[in-house]
Amino acid sequence: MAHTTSLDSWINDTSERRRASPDLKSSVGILSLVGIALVVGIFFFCRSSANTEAQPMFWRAYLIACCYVSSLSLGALFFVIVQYLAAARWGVVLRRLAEIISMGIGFCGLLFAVIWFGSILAGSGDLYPWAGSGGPMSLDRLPEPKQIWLNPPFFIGRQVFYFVVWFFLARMFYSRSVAQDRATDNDTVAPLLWHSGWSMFVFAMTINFAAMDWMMTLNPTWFSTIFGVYFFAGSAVGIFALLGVLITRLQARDILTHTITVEHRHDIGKLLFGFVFFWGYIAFSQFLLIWYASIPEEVQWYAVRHIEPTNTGIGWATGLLFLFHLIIPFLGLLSRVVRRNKTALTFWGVYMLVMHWFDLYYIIAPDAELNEWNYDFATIATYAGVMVGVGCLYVAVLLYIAAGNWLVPVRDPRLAASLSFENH
Amino acid sequence: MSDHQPKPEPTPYEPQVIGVLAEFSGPEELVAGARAIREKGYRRVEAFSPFPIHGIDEALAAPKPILPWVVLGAGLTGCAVAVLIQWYMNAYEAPIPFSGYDYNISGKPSWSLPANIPVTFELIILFSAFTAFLGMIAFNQLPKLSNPLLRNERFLRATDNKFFLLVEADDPQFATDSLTGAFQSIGAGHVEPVYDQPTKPLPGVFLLVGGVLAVAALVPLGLIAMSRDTTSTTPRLSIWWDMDYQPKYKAQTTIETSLFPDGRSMRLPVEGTVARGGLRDNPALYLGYIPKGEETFETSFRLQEEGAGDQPPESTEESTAEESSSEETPAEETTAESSDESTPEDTSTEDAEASTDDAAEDSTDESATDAAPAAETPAASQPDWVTEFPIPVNMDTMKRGQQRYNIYCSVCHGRAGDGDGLVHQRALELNQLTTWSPPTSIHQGEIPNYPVGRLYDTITNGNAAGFLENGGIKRGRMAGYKAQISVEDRWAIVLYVKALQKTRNASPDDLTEAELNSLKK
Repeated sequence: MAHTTSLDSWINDTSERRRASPDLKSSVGILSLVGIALVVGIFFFCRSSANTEAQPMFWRAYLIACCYVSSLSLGALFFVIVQYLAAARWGVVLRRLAEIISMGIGFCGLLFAVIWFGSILAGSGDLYPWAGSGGPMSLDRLPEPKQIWLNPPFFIGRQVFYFVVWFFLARMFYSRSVAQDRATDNDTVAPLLWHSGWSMFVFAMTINFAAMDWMMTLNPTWFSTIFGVYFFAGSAVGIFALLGVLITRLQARDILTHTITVEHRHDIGKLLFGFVFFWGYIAFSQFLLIWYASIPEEVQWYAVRHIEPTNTGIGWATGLLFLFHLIIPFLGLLSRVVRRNKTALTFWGVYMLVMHWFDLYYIIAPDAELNEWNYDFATIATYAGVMVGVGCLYVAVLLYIAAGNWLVPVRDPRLAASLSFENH
Repeated sequence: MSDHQPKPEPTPYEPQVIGVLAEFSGPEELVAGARAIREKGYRRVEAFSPFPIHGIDEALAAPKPILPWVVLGAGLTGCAVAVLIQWYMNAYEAPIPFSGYDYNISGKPSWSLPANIPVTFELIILFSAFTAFLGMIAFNQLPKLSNPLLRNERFLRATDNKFFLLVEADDPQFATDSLTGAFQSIGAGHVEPVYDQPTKPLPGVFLLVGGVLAVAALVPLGLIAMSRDTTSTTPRLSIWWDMDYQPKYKAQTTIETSLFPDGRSMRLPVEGTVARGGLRDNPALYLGYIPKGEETFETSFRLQEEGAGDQPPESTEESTAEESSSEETPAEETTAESSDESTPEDTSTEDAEASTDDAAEDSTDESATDAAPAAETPAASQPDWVTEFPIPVNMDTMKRGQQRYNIYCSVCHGRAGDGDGLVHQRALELNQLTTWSPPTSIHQGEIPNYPVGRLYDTITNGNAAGFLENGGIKRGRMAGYKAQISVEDRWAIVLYVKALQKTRNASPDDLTEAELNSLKK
């Protein structure tokens, strides 16, 4: 309809900022230093601690943080791919933000390399019990197929493959989109509509196997075929929560205040709401089948999470997750009024980002911590400090990528439709 | 209607105006027109267009539908119904008509929320979806088979390329002339009032076809009812034959294949293992006597289990020699017990030895005289009976014992233990005195002085008709009840038997001062 006129008036509108300041690079150094200092400091503190549990705890905390930032980048990659897959027009104004976040996946590979070299190749069973020698779950005591699958060179090689594939995908979508900003007449993103098909397939397969490699192998005797989907659902929750927070924070600084309207925020809220329930659906599907069949090798994973030591009810961790990751945000995001309100959307975004961390904690934390509520200051400080440290590094990388960049694909052929998008 | 009565002259139909219809050329014009006509104060405005138009709802100021709230209510209702229905059917049982059935499935809890969530989820969806769909139809006042607008030639293009606004006749400001002028002033193309039409009755052929279909729909139901009520010589249809004939072996059967060399479908426990709950490491509790000599508890227990109760539990020769040294007179036992036990009911010892009415067993034993010889057997050859209860002695145990006694024992021995149970009375009625041996009274002879272990052994394996030289027990007429009654319940029955015996042999000294006073009142 009136796309041309609205696009013209949008181009002439100078009341909002649409480009990230190149000065962002100045804060990269400080953030990196804080992040490295926190992670390295906690690492050496845990190593020198008299408590033998301290070092395994560091590695768990570090794995949670790595999976957390990776899940945000992977969720962003999913959002970008699905925009092209559906040839969606409404989300064009949000796409660049997701593209920048998805480019963080390369750095996530470096974060994981610390685990490969610091834990697995060092022959330590602190994190992955099969990587150490002599323990009850060491590699030579596992069945032969698992010995092949969890063989350290193969295990690390697979993960290198995942990160190469993801970085290639993120780079392809990002670079073509950025090239469009400078192009004058040709549609450089048009081929991405075609590439999105196989990209989505490759993405689905790799995230599935990566989730199993990162988290399911913490207990090499346990398996769940839906686990990859579970991690993906959490990643989608994470990225839509992050986008909701990011948009409102940017708009508070006069960035994209007119480009991204209440309609776009409403859609982010809807997707967050939808994926909160999708996560609950998948989490419950995984739980119900394992709980109902009650096969010892499967149900062990839930035995420490679901059942109290007295076998009478739901354990605190599962109860908390069920209530605070599903029921409360489901009811909270149910109303259209909430999703269209900036403050409410920010609140639920931050809330779900915290719950997404807790979801990963629930998966990765050792059995002993999940069995009963028993936390001291050192434990909480380790988990929080490592997460903040890795988070600082991750944000620094994202700022480095974003610096000087357009925050909206200014010459995208579908931009006009996205600008005038309205919900019904 | 008959021809005799003349048809009344039909009054000419006066069409009523139902609204004023205005045509607009495009979607933007329609939105602008809707906004303008509302600004003139008209409230009952409807818009018609070939496709959804952004902004038309706001322009018409259409009220927010309440359907979402209705759907929310329906969803919550579905949730409550699903939870209640599952609780009622699986976990609730009461003596009322159409009661639920609290059926134990493999020991799983009757009420377990995780298992109920899928059904709850589905019912929420079902209720919500039906409410949303039917509510949408109801709020739109559908189905509407006919609308006067559909008879307007121009209006039919609303599905093609024309856009219309209609102000309905129930608008408070409605007046055909002023409204027409208002529409023309805001740029409407063609403006005309719309009149309603006389309605015609439904054609008879619809009723006929509908009736035929309704009757035809009953045919399958009738066929089902017929097949349920008649017999057939053809075999049952097996739709899912692999569910009807499953490749599995049932418990306690033999198998013909070479799956297992011993041909059993069930497996024996692994050598050296004990099944859960099968560890019987307390001879006083499980046997009622303490095995002696080289004989271990394990061997004697196995003998007892495998020998179906009528094999001697002790077979080693050494035990006989040792037994003679550990002599105990019944009188000594009695005094020892009365000093040890706290409950006054427990002090006297007897045996609940008796005979069952099983005719098959009658042919092997001379059972009428079983009880008396057993009592006279020298204590030297008896096992080392337990003289104290290996279970807690309290009122709960006593109540349990009374209940179990009345279920299992009283049919022969009678409620008071006199050997006059209903089975015995029936045998007398049938004049079976030649073959019937009456059950033993638990109050007769030496029985009140029997140690509790011997009573337990009697309930477990049947009464002792005599004691063998090798320490074994010759069993009498009464059958063992170990298959029917659990170990703890057998001890509870012993406790109750002791109480019954005490009722015939109590003195006022056994009672406390307070109890005596309460009796005197």
